[in-house]
Amino acid sequence: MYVPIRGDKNDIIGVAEAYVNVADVAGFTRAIQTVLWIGSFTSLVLIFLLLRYVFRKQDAKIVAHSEELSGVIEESPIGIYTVAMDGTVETFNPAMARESCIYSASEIIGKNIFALEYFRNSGLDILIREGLLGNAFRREVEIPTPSDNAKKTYHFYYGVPLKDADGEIDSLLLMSEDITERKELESQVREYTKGLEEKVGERTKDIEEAKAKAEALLASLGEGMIATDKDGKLIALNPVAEKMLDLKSEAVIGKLAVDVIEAIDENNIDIPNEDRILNIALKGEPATLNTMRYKKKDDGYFPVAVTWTPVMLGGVVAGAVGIFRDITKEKELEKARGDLLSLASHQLRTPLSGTKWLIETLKKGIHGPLTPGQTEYIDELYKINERMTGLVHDMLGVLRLEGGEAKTKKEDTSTKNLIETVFETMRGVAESKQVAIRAREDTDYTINTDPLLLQNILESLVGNAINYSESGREVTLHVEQKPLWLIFSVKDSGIGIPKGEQQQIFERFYRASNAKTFDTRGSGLGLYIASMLAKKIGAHLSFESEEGKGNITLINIV
Amino acid sequence: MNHVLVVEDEDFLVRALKDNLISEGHSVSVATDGEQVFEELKKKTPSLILLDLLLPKKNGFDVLKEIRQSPEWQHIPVVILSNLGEDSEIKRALELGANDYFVKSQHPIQEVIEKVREYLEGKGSTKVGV
Repeated sequence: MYVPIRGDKNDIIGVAEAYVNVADVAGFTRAIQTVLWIGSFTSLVLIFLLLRYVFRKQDAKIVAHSEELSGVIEESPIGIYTVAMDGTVETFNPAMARESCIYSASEIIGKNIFALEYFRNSGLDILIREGLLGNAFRREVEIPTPSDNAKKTYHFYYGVPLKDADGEIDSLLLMSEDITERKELESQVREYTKGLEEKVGERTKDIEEAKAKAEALLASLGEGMIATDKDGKLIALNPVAEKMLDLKSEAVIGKLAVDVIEAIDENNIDIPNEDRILNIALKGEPATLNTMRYKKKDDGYFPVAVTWTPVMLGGVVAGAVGIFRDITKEKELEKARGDLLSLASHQLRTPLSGTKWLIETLKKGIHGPLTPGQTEYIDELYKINERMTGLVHDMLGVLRLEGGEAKTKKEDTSTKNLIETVFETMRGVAESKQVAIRAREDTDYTINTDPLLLQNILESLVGNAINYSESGREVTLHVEQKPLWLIFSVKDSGIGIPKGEQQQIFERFYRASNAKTFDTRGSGLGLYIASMLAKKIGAHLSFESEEGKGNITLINIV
Repeated sequence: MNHVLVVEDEDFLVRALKDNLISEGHSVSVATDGEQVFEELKKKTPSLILLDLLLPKKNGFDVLKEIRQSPEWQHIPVVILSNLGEDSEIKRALELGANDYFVKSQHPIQEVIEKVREYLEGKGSTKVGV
């Protein structure tokens, strides 16, 4: 071997010749090669053993996992199966078998899914093909009924394409959940909701119709209507009320009715809140009718007839309803009627009283004595005048009663005192007719009635009994307490009333046929007035009579 | 002799009253309308006034009111003789201070004359004779 010799400047300045023992080098090299070969072999064996150990471990884990997974899939309540690219069913878990109504999964594994009726009929085959092309899906699938007896079912499907190590799709994982029950429930809920909606719709329509009817009714009501809640706050006014009171509902709803509707009594005195009939109604008192004056906004007061009725719900006052009517015209008519009556009575009575007093004066002989013939004539004139006076009195009484003017009172009245007063008044007539009047017994009862009206009735009946009795006869008055009634009976032994005419005896201007022959003074109004007065005090008049045997007139009074 | 003022617009009633009162020994003056009453009162103060209600010029209610408000005449008994016979009219007259009230057609003139006598003898008491 030659080796170059270099100078200071690294330039070759010479060549040296060297000699090496090749046998020694070759032996050394072989020794080294052997060592290296053994070392490599050992390392490889060790690495192999290590890897084997690791892979075995890994395999065991994978197997364990795989077993675990298989167990989960087997036990899963959700149907799970896989299909290979060519449509072969690779796995099929029991849940899926149940869902598909297949006895066992083994019946289907290995078969081509596209050939199975179940999948074709439900359209699942199309979905599976799509899935195998790489399109994952989640879809509700309707499974047609397999037989006439079975019902169709619903399933929710997930399709997930599975890829191999190269990323190529090699199968499709399908998961299915039976949602038939849920669908049925949903359907039931939908039906129920629909039914409910229909019912609500119908009810709403009914309510709207009823509301429209009520509104139309209230609007057409000729009377004012006000409604309040239990606290007396306004909740409704109909158009008539709005117009009469000149109020707008929207401005007054929610306010206290007694504040909004100002009222005074008929004597123009303010009515205290506690006496307002609305507040009385709100205490649950039954309906009360009253006349008073309501205020029309900016236009003074006008007379009204008002009724307030409590609205009871479950025995509790929930509010009140007031109905009122403008009675201005009635009041004017009432006044006109009163004025006419007053004037008519005055104008009719004045000449009668003049004749009466002049005849009385003449009879007194102030202007000299009268001859018997003159006296006779004068007496006749006087009778005619008295009859006329009685007729006018009765007719005005009828007009007054028919106009409803006479107001009734309620007072505790002693029947004994009452009878005494009647007898006192009638004594003169009885004496002049020579008819005795007496009470049959002394018993005293207390009766709550209008004493003056009852006295008028008794006077009328006793007067009638006297007038239609012949002289020397007797008229008796008898009072009897019955459980429900107090009965006054006036008995005479006069001419009686023919049976066929007894029904008409209380009619206006009716006079019994035999009365006309007996006495000509009656106006035919006496018993009519008595029966009208009786009605006013809640009494009832009746007759027991037979022609020629006298009458018993009965007054039944509560 | 007692003096009685008759206030009445109907001649025939004046005649009857006057004849009866004079025959009883009273002196009588007559007013035929509501204003004449006060002229007569000024001429001679009566012991009693018989007062009709419906009168020309001034009605009996106003006359009565004026009499009861006058210091000179308020003490004089006033008996109303009227053919107005409604309860409201009687009540109003009594409230205004009438001593008695007769509805003429319903009472003999003798009853009126006796009532006048009662008042003039100082025995008259307020009672409505209707």
